[in-house]
Amino acid sequence: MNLLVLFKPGIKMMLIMKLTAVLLLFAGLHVSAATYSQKITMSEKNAPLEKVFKEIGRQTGYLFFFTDEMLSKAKPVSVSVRDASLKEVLDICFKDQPIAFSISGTTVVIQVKESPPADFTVQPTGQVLKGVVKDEKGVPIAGASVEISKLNLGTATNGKGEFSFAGILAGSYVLEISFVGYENQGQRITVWDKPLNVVVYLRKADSKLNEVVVTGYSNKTAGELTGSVQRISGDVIRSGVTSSDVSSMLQGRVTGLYITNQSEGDPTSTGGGVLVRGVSSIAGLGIDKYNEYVLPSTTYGPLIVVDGVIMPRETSPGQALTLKDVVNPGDIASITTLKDASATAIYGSRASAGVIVITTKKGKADGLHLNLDLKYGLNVPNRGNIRFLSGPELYSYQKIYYTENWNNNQQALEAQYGVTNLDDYLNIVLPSLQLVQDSSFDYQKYGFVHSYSKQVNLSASGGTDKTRYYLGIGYYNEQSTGIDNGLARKTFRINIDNTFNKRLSFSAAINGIFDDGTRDNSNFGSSIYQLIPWVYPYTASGQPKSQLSYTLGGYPTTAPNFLYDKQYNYNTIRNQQLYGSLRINLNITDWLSASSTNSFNLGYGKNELYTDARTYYGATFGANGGLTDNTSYYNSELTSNVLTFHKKWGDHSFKLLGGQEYGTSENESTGINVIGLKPGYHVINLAQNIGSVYGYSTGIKNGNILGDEYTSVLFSGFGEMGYSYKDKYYASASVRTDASTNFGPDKRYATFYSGGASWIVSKENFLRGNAIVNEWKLRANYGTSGSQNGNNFFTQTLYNPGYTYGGQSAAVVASLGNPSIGWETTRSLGIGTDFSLFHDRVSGNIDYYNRLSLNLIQKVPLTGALGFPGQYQNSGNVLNRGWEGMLSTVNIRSRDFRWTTDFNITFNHNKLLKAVGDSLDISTQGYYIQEGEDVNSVKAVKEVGVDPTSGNPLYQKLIFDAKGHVTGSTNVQSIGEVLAEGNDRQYQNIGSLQPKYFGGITNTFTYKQLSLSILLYFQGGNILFNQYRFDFQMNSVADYNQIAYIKGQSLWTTPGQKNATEPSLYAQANGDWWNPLNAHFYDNGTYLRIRNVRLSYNLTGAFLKKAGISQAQIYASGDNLFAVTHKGFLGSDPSGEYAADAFQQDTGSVGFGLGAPRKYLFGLNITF
Amino acid sequence: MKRSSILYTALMTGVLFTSCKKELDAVQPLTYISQQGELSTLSGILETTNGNYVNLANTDGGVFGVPYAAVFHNISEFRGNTVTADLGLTNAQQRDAYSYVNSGLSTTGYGEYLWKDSYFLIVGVNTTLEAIETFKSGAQFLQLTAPQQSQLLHAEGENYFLRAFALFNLVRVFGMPYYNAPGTNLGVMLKLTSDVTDIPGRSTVQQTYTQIVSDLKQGAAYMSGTGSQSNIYANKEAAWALLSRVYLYMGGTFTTPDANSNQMAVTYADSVIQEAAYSLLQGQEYVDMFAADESGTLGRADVKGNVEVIFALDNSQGGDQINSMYHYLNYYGSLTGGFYPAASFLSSLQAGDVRSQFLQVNSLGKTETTKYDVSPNYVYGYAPTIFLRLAEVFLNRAEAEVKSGDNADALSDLNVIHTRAGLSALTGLSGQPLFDSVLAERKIELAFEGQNGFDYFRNGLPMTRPSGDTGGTPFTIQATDPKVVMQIPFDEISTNPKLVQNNQ
Repeated sequence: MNLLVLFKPGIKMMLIMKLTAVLLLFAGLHVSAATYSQKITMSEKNAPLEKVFKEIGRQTGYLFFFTDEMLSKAKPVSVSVRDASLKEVLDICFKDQPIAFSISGTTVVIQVKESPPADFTVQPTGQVLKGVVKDEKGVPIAGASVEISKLNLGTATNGKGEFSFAGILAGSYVLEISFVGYENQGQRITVWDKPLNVVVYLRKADSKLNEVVVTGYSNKTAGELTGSVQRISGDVIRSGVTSSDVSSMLQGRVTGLYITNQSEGDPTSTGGGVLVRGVSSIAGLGIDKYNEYVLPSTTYGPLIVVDGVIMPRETSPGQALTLKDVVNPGDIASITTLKDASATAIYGSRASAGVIVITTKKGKADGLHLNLDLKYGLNVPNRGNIRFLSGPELYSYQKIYYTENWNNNQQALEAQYGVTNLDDYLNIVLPSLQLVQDSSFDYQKYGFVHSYSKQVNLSASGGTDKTRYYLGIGYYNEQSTGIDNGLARKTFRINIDNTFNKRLSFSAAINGIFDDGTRDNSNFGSSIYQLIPWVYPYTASGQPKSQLSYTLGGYPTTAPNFLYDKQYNYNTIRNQQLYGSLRINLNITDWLSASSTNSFNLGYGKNELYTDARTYYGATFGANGGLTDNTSYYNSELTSNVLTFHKKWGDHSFKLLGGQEYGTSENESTGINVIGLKPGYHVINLAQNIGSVYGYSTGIKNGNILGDEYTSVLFSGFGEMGYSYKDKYYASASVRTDASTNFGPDKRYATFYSGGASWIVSKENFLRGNAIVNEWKLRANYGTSGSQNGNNFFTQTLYNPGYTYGGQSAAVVASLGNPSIGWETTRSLGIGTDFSLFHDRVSGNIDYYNRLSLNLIQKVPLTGALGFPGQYQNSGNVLNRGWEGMLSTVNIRSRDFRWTTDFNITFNHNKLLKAVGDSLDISTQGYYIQEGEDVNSVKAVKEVGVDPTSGNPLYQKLIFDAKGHVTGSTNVQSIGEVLAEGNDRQYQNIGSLQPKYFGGITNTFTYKQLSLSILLYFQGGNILFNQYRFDFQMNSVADYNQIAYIKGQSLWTTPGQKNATEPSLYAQANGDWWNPLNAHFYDNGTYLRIRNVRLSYNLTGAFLKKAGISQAQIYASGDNLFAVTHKGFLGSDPSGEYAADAFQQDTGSVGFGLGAPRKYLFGLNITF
Repeated sequence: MKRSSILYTALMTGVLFTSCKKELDAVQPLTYISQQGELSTLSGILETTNGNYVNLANTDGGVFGVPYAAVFHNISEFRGNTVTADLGLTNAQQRDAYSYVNSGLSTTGYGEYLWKDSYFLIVGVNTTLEAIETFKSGAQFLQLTAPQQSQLLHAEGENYFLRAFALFNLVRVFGMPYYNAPGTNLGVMLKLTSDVTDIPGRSTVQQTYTQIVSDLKQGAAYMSGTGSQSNIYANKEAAWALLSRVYLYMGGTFTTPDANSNQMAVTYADSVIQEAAYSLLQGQEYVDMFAADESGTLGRADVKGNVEVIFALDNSQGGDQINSMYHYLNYYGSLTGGFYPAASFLSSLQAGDVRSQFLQVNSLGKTETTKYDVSPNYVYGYAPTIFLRLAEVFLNRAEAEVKSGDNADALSDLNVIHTRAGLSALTGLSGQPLFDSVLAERKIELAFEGQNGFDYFRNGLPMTRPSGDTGGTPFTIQATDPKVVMQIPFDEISTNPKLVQNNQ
């Protein structure tokens, strides 16, 4: 029990509260009501009121505001109640007293009952009511809103915190005072016959430093934290874009969190990639020249923790669990991002890519609340500046190409086609102009459609002192703007918290997510470029043709007609995840508690592709219909057992935590391709053979029957220490030892540790009551974390026995073991400050970090004599260093209107410090990274223009002197000439795939019940591999339809032409122009996007109350309305690449060219 | 309550800690088996030996994702003059060997593919050979039955054969022809162990050939026991047949022959030809040997019963994809293929030559070879990849004989092949004209079988493509041109300082 009395000019404020396990902090006025009983039991005889108030305060946590003078007039009271309500007790206390009370929030305000003075005369003109609004420290608050709703009057305080109203007639009123960051205050006043001068004290609403942050194994207040932790509420997350993927919704909201999803337009995609403070691994840095990943990128990403339960790492072998897999955005109460060592080290070997902690909604002990959130909207195709050529356009480009071809290869073409002049040649290779004009068909219109999104979230929450519950169900249906692509998702979540007694409590949760997705299996999305516009897809009677037969370049050709195929073919993606957990908490003593968290997760995924025998691919290659069925399954179990010690001696407070964890996970995947299926019968059993519909592997096991399975076990012990002195100086430390089966017995164990300290400067006397600085905290920490990248058993040389030769079993070496391989470790240093200025009108934080990742596992290419192409070694070191900052300002604040701005920005600098042979040879195409460069940097041959005479591209070839220094450059006309000496340095660094900076800006304007918010996201300094330009812009004009040139591009057609940006069509189609390491195919990825605009209106009025509605809001929301991209960017979506998935993206998904969807939604949110 | 709770927690923690090590050790790889476990049994050794064949044909494809056989075929056949590359359908990498660019980069040529694939195979062989040696010296060997022991020794012989096969292919690509200063010109690395610290430099061409001959002879000796393995595996006849070719390559030019080597070529050819198990296919059987088999009804994919074939890769489970280089198909709406029979080759076929039936005009109007064409579609070829067949042994012998001055036997051997093709016997030839005829016959008989690219240079002759094949300009490479050999891959030069580059 603790008693804290603060003296204020004129008013004594008394806070009585019980100290619980939660630390009491600076300005320790925040009280969690849920921890107090609402019932009072007491027995007092003729006790002074002050004593009674103390007791009430002790039991309920309520504050009492009064002056000594007030109580001096009051008489002692006798109270004897059992489980009485506060109101009942207070009514007894104030019966027949000269004073009265009013309850405001958790404050009981005492006033003197005044009677009219003897010489009272009513002044018809009324009186002046003046006042000043101050905070608890007595500092005046400027800009606070002061209203007398009874009189419909309102004003705001001036710079000195003063306000005044004139002409207030005698009577009793309530002054309503509000200011952002403070609790609203209702002050009862009585006006008699003279001017009144009042002082109103506002109590700080939840100080940011008091905010409880869930860091995983323990909850901490923001003040206690020594590291960078950012919390964002579910309401904020939900007020942006609409998606089933939480990571999409987080983009632009959190510093240090780079989120990108190039397939956002495809609702069945696996979800956005999340990078916390840069790439701390070399996993996913593209593929090496053996077409193998340096390490698969898909398992790289932050650790996800939901309500204290660590989620499994992968959903299927090689596929990381993403935020999209774990929670329905509607169920989120808050998301906390743990970025540096002091917060993540406790998660040890899994935390080097950061930790994201999700807290879901919980019930409160205040009766039943029902919430209904409905949303419906239109999705509009967002194709950016991508436009495929019309028939006549393609024809004219083909004519240019064939003419150039003739000029270059006349002799060979004469022989090949048996012609003697250009016209005859063109007649053979080009279609008739009549056909082009008559039957041109715009395939884009049929492939990219207007569609819809709808969402229903219904929740019930509530409870009693003993049991609290939250039940939520959700339905989400998004149809993409690409044809035949959509996701229907059903979710539920049940959270139950039960307090048996003051010693024992438990929490149970069950979460289910059921996804039913469809994707286009008729290949429209990926093959629109193959569709020649003058090939009309319908017969004369208007039926889609069963296949497209036409002549191209003089050769007969057939192609699938997706309009026909989509009637029969399908591609479904079903995912089901079920998570359950049970936590038991035992308070052994007041200062020692034990908890055990046990979770069981189950996931199942199934992808089915059916190609009907009636369709092109089903029929053409003799497969006679085919079905591909891929399933994946995982289950994981984890038990975490933690002992927590917490005790305070005087100014010293100690918190110790020790725990142990044991987890297993099993992942399995199977896949089968079968063929020979009767039309419409898509069952594996009915198939005649194994094989692919493309017919090349009938009866072959390889590629048609797949299965993978592995188990891993992780065992850990960990501890954490927290110490604080005077709630002003904090220190923290943690240690964790992990043992993982991913490594051999000798290298199995690794220990990770962290230490940190923080200082709340604003609590020092020299800053107390400072008018500028409200809160100011400094913090620093250092520590390590790790990652268990890659597959199992790197330590052993393994044979794959899954082959046969001549019908006999055969085993082939699969990997060369490395007995000395061990853990990757990231050492991070974080320094930061949090501040709040000018009465919280300006608040924010600035952080600096330095993350050194060591012993990164790399598949190192070996010299040929060793016989193996590569071996996994701990070879790389990578440094990430950066600044991140957030600033929230209240720009305008008046009675009805408020404008606030939230801004955040992150700068990250990445550098490869060490790699085998001084460089990371990840040469899909000769691509490599040298020490000192960003690990996501791209090397390419620099294209510098077009030779005006030949129309050939010009490339820069560097000239080296004998010592290897660059002494100059010369322009040559082919990549082959640039690389003739085989010098890799001819590939020049043209930029990085990761942005140098990114961030978001949210502006919110509120006028009375109307609110408008605008979220902008920006990033810059990165380059993008432009797959569209590479695959479909003019380099294969003879074979496919092409993307039209955009403004600023001009094609070389005439000798001597100097303004050309694009080489001649002949040069593009021949020679080595078409090469992913031609810098021409990279674009500047800097962009700014209006991510979301949302207009909402809170409904008010008596009818709501009558209907039992406590809150109702209607809103309109627009997503991805507009993007400003760098000049010359061609595409529908400038979203950057995730962890250097260079050359890996866009391989024919339905998301092809879709871009982040433009959505116009309308919604309704009602709480009963 | 208090005490029991603490006790319980402590107990639980203790139990979990102690049980952990056992639990962790119990987790083992599920999808793969360890090297130690695999190589300690007879069946494991046989499996890894089979795995070494898989490496040649693997549809998963070498270390770069392209099967060894396809890489080697690209380099061996297309450096000759039987094909013309379609510029529109081939890229720089596919044309690298054809155009004699000889790139040292894996992105623009297949040289590095061949180098890495070969040493992957060789180290696989060495690992198995070492395991066999260990096994033979252990107690386990003595417990084997006699047939099992013979099986093990045969496997050892097969591994020697495969190493010789890989080294011979390597030295033909990276080392100058044997007639040209073999004692000083550099061959390839003789990597004869699996030791990761054994990183040799290049031996001379002569040293390389010496190792090849030694491996083949040793292999033949180990395989002398039982001939139970079929022609999709190496056997002693395969070793002899390859020896006849290796000695032929060592036999010098027509004007400066090496009598001893030619004699050895004849001797080993005799050994094969005298084996009753092999005979030349005649008549319709010969026509069907390479007939278009789109439907697979001829059963060509099952090469085991073919008495002419001495050693071929079994592709019946989906093969090495050599076919994809030859076949003009409309695949996914676009044309594929890339190398078509050269005009000069087509015109060299006489009327009535049965071997013109190994060509067909496909539905797109393109002429193509049917030697690899049994698959209904394009990616995997099911037809066997034939490395050694009896017809070649006859031609080896004919060439060695004519170089040795034995014109009569040479002409007789030449006519065995010539008349089988439905042509009338050649008469009155001797000396240079006879030698030229043998080479001409070899070009036609073994066209598209990976021989043509070497047959000119090993005889000191230029390889010439007439203007009709090249779209205008004749193309000639002299046997002494440095471009006759490919560059050592740049990555190899940089990771192995002992290697010396083939300067172009």
